[in-house]
Amino acid sequence: MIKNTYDVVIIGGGPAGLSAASAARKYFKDILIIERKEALGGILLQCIHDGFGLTRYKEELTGPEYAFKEIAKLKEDIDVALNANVYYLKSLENDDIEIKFYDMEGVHHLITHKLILANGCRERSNKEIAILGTNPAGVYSAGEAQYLINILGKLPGRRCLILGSGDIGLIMARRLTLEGAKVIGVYEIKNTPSGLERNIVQCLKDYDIPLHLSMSVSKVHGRKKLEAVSVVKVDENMKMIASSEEKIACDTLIISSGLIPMADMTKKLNVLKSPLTKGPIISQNYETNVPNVFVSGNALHVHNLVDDVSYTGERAAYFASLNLKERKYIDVSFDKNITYVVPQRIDINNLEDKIDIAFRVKKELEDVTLKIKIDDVIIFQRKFIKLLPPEMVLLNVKMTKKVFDKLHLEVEENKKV
Amino acid sequence: MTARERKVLKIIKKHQLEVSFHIVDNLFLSMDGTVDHYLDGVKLCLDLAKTKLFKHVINNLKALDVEEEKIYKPSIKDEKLEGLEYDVAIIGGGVIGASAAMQLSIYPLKVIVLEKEEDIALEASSRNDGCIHPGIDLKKDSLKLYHLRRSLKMIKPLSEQLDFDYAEDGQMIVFSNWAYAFAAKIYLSHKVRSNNIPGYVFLKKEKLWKKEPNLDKNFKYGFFFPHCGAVSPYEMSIALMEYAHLNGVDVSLNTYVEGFDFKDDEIVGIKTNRGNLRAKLVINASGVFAEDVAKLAHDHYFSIHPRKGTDIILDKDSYPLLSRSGMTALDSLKARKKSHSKGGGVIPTVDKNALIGPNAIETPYKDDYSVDREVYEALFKKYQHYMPSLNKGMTLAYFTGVRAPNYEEDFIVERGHFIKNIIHAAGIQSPGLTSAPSIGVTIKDLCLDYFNIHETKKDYVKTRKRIPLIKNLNDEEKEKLIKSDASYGKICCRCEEISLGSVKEAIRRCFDVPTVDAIKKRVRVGMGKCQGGFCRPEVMMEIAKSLKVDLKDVIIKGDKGNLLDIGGHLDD
Repeated sequence: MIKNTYDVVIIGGGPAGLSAASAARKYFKDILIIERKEALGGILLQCIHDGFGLTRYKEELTGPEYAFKEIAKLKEDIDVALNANVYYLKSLENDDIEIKFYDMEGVHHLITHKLILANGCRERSNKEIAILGTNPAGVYSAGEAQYLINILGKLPGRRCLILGSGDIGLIMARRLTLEGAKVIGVYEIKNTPSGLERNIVQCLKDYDIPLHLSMSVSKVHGRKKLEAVSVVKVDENMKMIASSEEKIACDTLIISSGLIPMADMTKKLNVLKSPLTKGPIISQNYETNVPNVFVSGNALHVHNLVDDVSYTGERAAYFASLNLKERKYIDVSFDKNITYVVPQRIDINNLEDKIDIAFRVKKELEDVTLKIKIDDVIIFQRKFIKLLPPEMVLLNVKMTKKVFDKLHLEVEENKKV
Repeated sequence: MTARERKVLKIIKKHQLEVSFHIVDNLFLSMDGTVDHYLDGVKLCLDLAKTKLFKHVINNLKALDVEEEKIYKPSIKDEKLEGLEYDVAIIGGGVIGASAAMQLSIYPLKVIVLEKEEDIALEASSRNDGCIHPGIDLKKDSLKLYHLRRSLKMIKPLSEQLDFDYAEDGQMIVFSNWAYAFAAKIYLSHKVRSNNIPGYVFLKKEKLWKKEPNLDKNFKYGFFFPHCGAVSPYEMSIALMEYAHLNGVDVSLNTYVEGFDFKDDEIVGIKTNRGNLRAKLVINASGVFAEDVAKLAHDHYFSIHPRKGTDIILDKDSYPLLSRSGMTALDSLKARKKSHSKGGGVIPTVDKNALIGPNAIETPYKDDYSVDREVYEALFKKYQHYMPSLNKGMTLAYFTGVRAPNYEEDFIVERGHFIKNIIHAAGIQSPGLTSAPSIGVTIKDLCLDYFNIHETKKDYVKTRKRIPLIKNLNDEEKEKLIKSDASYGKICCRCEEISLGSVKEAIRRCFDVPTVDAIKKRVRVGMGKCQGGFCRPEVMMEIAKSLKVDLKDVIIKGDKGNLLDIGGHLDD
């Protein structure tokens, strides 16, 4: 039975939502998870490769194993609504949140004191990256191909070309090869791979799958069914060099060109969005501009490791349990080497001793130091041998000062001795 | 040599082409011979048509720069239609075929629609901007204007009867230059009067910007036509065809007309890949292939010159940032007069997306639906000019359609010239979608006349209802719908909020084997931001379940012969 009132409602039953829910048991009595699919676990369920849980569980788990460990932590006192779709969210005058959702039984209407969004991310579509030409069957996103193979037991095709060297694309290159499909190559428009280095080695090099950097798909051919794609070299500005165009016969094109936080829930609440992460703007307390609405996991910004996703879920649950005073924000600034920083701002009226800071760099950097400054005073620094754009850095930083006007991140090259 | 022939020779000479011609039945001008470039032939024929010395110009020129085109044909071969007898066979399941079928369905006639694609309205009828035009650009005595005027009166009641969306948001033409705006005012006032169409509201500066807050402020003058707007072209076509089907019209998909059997100057049989059927009267509503069908029917007296156009659909987030009405900006009237359509623009769709386009490029290829990079780039550049907030990041999807104009650039809706029992609906281009309801009426009248029928059937279905979508209902209605069928409570497409119940109903309503794309067209699963990445496998599973087939036998596009979408079982 769904109650009329909850202490906390968590939207999304993937890794972020699961860890938020089990952590929330420490602070709250009435907890509800709303999950759209028929089972908890989220996308982990289709990730049957291993490598999950190295930091959280100190062992290498498959996606489903990781999910089952997380699900096992939930107890009966947590309500779960499956096959459920939230269609209405409203922040009320007393800062409670009104929620309406439906499932296969009917419509449910409730009030919650705190809301944690953990509704994950989506893949960038072939249209968003302007794959032009015809529009035939046989073009799949990497996640969709993964679902077809791992959950439904079907191969999307026999001769595959993969565009984008994001982690899912790399993992799918290996998966398709293992299942007997020919992977012609992985094409990446940038001059560096987008996925983690370990995946380049384990998924491509170990299987002799070529990785073509600074190349992209210029055109798709085939009226109903994919017959071929044209690939093309790009220059340093990522402009296509038409003379280099080459047509390659294939029956499947798999697109792995990045993930974007889902915006369907934040939109209903008019949550402020960051143009850099495409996710919501939050404070160090994982709180959005809408009071009592918290965000965690890939709905916030896209993480590399599920372990980090679980961590943010726990943190969001913790901050949701605090009674936050009136918020007062200062913006976080950063230098040109950094793509983005989360949190985007600090709520200095509600500042704990330690805060989480996540960031990504714009380009490959070697032998550098990250400095975090408060009012121009360094409060934290760490040396990195190498920083790569695909590898997000998540830090827990001790705040030496509680009152300040400026928080700034910079990545500087170390002086050669 | 007659004066008419001398004039033709003069025009050929002006074009510096070495071609010949002959006049057919004293009415039609056939251009014969060879040209180096396809476009030269088109330009010549267009110039010849402008003389109005002939009813139609037929382009029989062979162009040396045209490669042979492989036209898509269904690979299926069976005897499904063998020996069946119909009163009326409609060739082409686009909006014209559907409109004719809808009109005919309430009369005591046995009607079949033959469509070569795997669903109806897959070509020009879905690959357009959905505009319901104000008719401002049409020539006074054109058939286009006649049908548009009649359709504008029909479209709203039709949308209510058949339960499809018609967004009467109006259309706006804006100008930056005062002199042009002033000239336009005179011109448009004159056109409104002479074309006898609903008028405009003139909006200046603040009033215009209030109505169109995202318009570049260089554009200070606007002409707003309130009595027009947009439909979803495939939703309208499907609604028309579903209504016809409810009233007994057969729809045969994946059915390609290969030829006809004749007796004297009458068609008696139609040869298809699904068997040979008999029909007393044939309706040629085959769009860009209308000339090919006319040739097969021994009734070749007009030509189609395909004109390709691309539209880009933008995501729902962009909707509030763009135009509120279908909007075209003009920097000069000259550019306007040269083109044969209203010129496209930034158009809000009925589904609360925005759309930009289309462009227009002459092409010899009827089946080329590819989107070119130069066109994609150029469309953004063109419309950013007056909608500065427009950017490529808003792209949701894009498509190309091929228009089917004849050289006279006017509709043909009439009985055949050489063959008695064929009706052509040809040369249907912009505003073809707007005009479709009226063209359907004319086709119906021609049919009734042919069969000498005056009365409708005694019993027939009066209305058609759309597939319920949970997102469009209020809380009580949602509850009721889920209680009636629990699958309406389970979401399938999260981007567009479409539940499984709607998908199931769409599968039931397909006229033949349901395809993933047909379900997408009916209930918008996979038309959101993720473009089907999440929901396509679920739709495939639902189709497999309803057909009781393995997932590998589910079709995304095309017919069984194209089945390679899913490579097979992993344990194969």
